[in-house]
Amino acid sequence: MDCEEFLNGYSDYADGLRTPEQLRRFERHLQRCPACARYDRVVRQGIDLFRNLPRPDASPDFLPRLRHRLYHIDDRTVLGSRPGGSAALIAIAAVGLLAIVWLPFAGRIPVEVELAPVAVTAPPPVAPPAAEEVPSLFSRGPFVTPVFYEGTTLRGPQVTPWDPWSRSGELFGASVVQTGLAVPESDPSR
Amino acid sequence: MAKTLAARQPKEEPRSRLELKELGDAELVAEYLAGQRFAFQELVGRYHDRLLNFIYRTIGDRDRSEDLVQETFVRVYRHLHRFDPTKKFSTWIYTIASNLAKNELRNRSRNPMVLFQAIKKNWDADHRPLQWEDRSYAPDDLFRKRHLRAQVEKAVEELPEHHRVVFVLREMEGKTYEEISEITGVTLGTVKSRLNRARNKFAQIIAPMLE
Repeated sequence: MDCEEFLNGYSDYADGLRTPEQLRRFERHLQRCPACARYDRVVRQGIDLFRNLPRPDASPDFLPRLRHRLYHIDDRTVLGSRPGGSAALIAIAAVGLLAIVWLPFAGRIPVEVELAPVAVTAPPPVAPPAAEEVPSLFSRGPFVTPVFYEGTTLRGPQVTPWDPWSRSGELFGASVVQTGLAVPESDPSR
Repeated sequence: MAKTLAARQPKEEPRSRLELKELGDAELVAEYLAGQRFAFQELVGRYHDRLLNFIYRTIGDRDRSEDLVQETFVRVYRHLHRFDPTKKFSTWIYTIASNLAKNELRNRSRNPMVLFQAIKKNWDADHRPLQWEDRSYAPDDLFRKRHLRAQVEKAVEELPEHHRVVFVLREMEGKTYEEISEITGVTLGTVKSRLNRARNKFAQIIAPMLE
């Protein structure tokens, strides 16, 4: 036996799966070949160490967690096997099937909807909005464009000099009323 | 599913847990399907540590291994009525666990990330709290043993995935070639070939530390 043959059949030899005659041939080769003897020693020692590695322990919550999961499987099984549950499933499946059959025709059927007549009352005629450009009193521009609404009269701006002794008057066309101003009636200067 | 539930309704007098411990796996499955609810707990008790070790040695992440063991039991529970009593229960449950572990490795290779577990392992060794000196043991020996263990773990992690599964099933779980063939879904010849290569590669990695 040469080293290649030894190495190719090593697993069978190590596991005792060869005939007694073949096993003796392996033994004889081991006694003659230091390299294969070393190989055999290393494999056996390494595997021995591997078998003695500490085994991981399951965490304390392993079994409670598993019980919880299995409980939910049973729970679902019970719910799924109820006759009402089956009937509901069949009904949903039937509706789905109908929808699938009907969908291709849905786009082809013309839809006509008759609506009730709508009565509309026309609003009373409104005078068209008028606009007038009024020059500013202080400069050439900008212009003031007064907007007049329905019912108002169109008036130009009236400029009246301000009379501080008058109790009422108009300032740039706006009505002004004086309050709480004591003015002597017999003012000699007036 | 309703059929499974009906099978789980108790029909006989409940057995004591001691009685259940005497039964084989296939008998426990039959007892559970006949309504003995503690029979499944007995199966969980028999397998959860073994499966955790197997998956942990295959994927190298402890927390994720625990999740996968849980998932294995959930799948077994759901499909217990499909179990063929002429087959070995242990082969069936290891097949489920092995497939989950393989899927995990496949997903991880698609989305590579640094495993915190790998970092934490070294952290535990280097940052353990200071303790009073105990002269009854030689620190050099302890250090050497710890170092060797770490190297052995590393050597197994370095094996290609399909070699590692076969190696762990054979060396750690003591499965026969036929069982490994059933669990992994490959021929007996492929199992032998993979195991031989795995041992060869393992020896190459571990040799410098043992000599």
